[in-house]
Amino acid sequence: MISLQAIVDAVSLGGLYALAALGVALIFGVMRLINFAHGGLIMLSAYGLWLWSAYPVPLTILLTVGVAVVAALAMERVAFRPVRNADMSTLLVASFFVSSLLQNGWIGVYGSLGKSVSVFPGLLDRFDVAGLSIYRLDLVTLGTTAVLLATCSLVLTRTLIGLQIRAASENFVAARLLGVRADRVIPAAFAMSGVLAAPVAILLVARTGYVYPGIGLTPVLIAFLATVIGGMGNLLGAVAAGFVLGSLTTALQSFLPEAAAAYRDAFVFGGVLLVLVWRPGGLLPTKFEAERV
Amino acid sequence: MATWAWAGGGAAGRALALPAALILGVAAVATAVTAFGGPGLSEELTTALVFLVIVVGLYTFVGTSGIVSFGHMAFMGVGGYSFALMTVPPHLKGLLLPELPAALRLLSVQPVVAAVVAGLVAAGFAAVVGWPLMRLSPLAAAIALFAVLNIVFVVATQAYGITRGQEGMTGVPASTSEWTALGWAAVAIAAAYAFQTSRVGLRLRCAREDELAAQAIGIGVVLERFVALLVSAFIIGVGGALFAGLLQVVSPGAFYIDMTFTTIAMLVVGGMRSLSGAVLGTALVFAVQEVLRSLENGFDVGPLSVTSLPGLDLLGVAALGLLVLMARPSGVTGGRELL
Amino acid sequence: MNAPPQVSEALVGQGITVQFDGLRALSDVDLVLNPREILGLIGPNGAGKTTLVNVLSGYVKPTRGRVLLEGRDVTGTTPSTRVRKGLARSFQGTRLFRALTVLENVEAGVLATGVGRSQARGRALSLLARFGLEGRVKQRAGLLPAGDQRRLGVARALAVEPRFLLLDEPAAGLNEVESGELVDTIRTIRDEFGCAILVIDHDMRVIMPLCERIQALSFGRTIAIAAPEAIRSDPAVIAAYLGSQEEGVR
Repeated sequence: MISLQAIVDAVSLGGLYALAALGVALIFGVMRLINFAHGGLIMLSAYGLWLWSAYPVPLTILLTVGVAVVAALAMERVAFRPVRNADMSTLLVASFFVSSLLQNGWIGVYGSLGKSVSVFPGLLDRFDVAGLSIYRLDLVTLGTTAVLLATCSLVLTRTLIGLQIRAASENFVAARLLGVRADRVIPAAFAMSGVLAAPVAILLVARTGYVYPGIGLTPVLIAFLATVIGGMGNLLGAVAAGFVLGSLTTALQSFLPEAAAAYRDAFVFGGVLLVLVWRPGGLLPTKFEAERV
Repeated sequence: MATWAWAGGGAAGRALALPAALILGVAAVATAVTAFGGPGLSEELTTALVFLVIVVGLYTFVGTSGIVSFGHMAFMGVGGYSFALMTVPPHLKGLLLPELPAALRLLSVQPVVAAVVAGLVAAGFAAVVGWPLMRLSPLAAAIALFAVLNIVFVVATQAYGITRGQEGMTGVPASTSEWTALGWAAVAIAAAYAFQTSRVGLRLRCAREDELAAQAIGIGVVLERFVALLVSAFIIGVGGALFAGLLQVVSPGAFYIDMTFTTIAMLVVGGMRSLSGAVLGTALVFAVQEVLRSLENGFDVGPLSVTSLPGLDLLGVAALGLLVLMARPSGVTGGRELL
Repeated sequence: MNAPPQVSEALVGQGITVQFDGLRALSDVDLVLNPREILGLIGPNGAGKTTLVNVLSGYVKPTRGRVLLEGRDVTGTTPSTRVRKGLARSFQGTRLFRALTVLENVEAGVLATGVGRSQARGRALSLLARFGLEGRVKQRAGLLPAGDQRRLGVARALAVEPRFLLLDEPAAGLNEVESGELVDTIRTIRDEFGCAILVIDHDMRVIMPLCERIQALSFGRTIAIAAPEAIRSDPAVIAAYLGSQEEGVR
């Protein structure tokens, strides 16, 4: 039984994961790094929320985004810049270590138990629209996603730095030859990914009311997979794939029979594997993969 | 002609020098620890040796193919659960897993045989799942294998009837002594060495260095990677069995992200591209982890008293791994063998 | 002068056109490499020589055209398949397996012929001796001096016992004496191993004495196919080279 509520849920969560995917894909585009530590950014934002959830709303949001951006820039400067020219596997492992550092650092200071956070409780109100009962939160999520994606799109197409980020994504060597400076483009991409990580954290926490060290793991895992199956270096593909994977995960929860529903993650991962096997370069491959002989 | 004689005659003795040295080195350390350390140290030694089996197994794929697999712990899980199903006494199985088919419930196998079978099951699983993945680019393959790990994890946590889900399968008899572990560590090192110097291993290492140039000498890569996958899955599967026989319980969390992280860190610190690196890295990282773990419950630094610091061991390993990647990415051994 | 095309025994490129997005690298190029012949492929930088070799060896798919190896259409096949069918190549940047030893580089190639390990090692050693590398057998390939690296690249290509060998700038980085030795080596390779050899190079000290036929490309098209003496005085070839001042016909 396809309930409209289920569809709204799916689309809403899909949007969230699309944001996460874009955050990861941006950095992959400019640096060939699949940033596993993006989950750490989400975690830090979420814990930030816990710390200042009592502040007025605009301040809360500002601080959360600020934390994410600062953390992202710090991450780039301290951990990733020294290994910038390493091969992709080394970069991936490095991001894995950074992620573990963040998570275990937090656990060391605050323990591994989660915290309950009540943030924006008004969002959990339901209201009626055209006969449907929707959570405010879903609307806000959809709205935020749309606004952020549109803003990013504008930045990437209308600003100089955005253009440079896209150029580097398509062909890093050519971009360098054309004068694009890595020391500008890469931190900019990290900053953008920070801006994208914070809302994911905020909306996740608003939805579940719970903050725990592993909160960023599922989004980053999906973002991971989305970046690869969307076509490496393809920002739009990653967003689309993130959206599909995110909404699929939720949709399966509703549509699968009881017994199979618990395995829905396995189905999603299985689907990803099938896509990879069918189209090894991703669904919308860029020329990124081709190495010149 | 002189080169012929040198290459032919000396080569056989020379060829075995490295694995012999590694095995003897490990055995020497093991003996020393057993002789001079207390009983508590003995359990840690066994754990370290089991880690060694797993990391050497991981190296057999990662080091030779150059693909940093994030999913190989799936094979550890498959091996561990298989081993448990074979060695937990039937009456216990009946209690813990009432829905288990009679054939599986009555299954009772001697631990050494069970370990081998566990390895074979893991290799079989790898064969089915891995074949289509070996065509992918190194990065895509790494992530695809990670997806496989997640699938195995989900199944392990949900298929309560076979695995007891999050609670884990208890009742595994203690079958991993330090000598069992040492024996298997020797086998793993020998197998890894045999593979990397074999014709498949050599051709795979060429593809790791330069895939395009490898194609120009007829290396198709896919088949070679597949063989590496099977060999590594077998060794890691045995490692999973040994782990089960040590902890006497198999649970999904034991072969998921933390284990993936730790084993990759061991490989990275030692040097991903050499067998010596796998061995050394395991020893180093394990030592660091143990030291940090002992500090987790708090310690005194002069007048300062630091209380509980959970996760310090993983934190320390992450920091160490990151430092190595920044300062010396090819690891302590620089990717070279000791001999 | 055109060699009579014995298509069933030769390596043939028919009507090869390669279009990379906005750039047309090759336009309707034909090439025939007959058994046991030494063919030179010359032209200014950007003429398409390496692209043509990439097409022949399977690294680049032609937009149009076919590649025939001893009569069989191999156009869609992978490079490693073509190696099994008797085709080998070296690379402009040598592309050695840097972390492996000199011996392992060649041994890996010999293994492609299907022989056992010890036999492969023996053949690899004798091949290396022929290229003067027997003293460096255990060294890591990445640490060799440039000239040795180039020779190793050629030796490795030979290891697979090809009937058609494509050499991409084997003389780059060699001095006067070494290029002279290279000419002798390549000729000896053809005489002893019986393979056909295609040589791309800019160094006319190597091309002129070595090649029986020379094919000249410019801007992705064939502008001349002739014997060395005729090529030397061909107006189109001279014009192409004068157009790019950096290369001179030495």
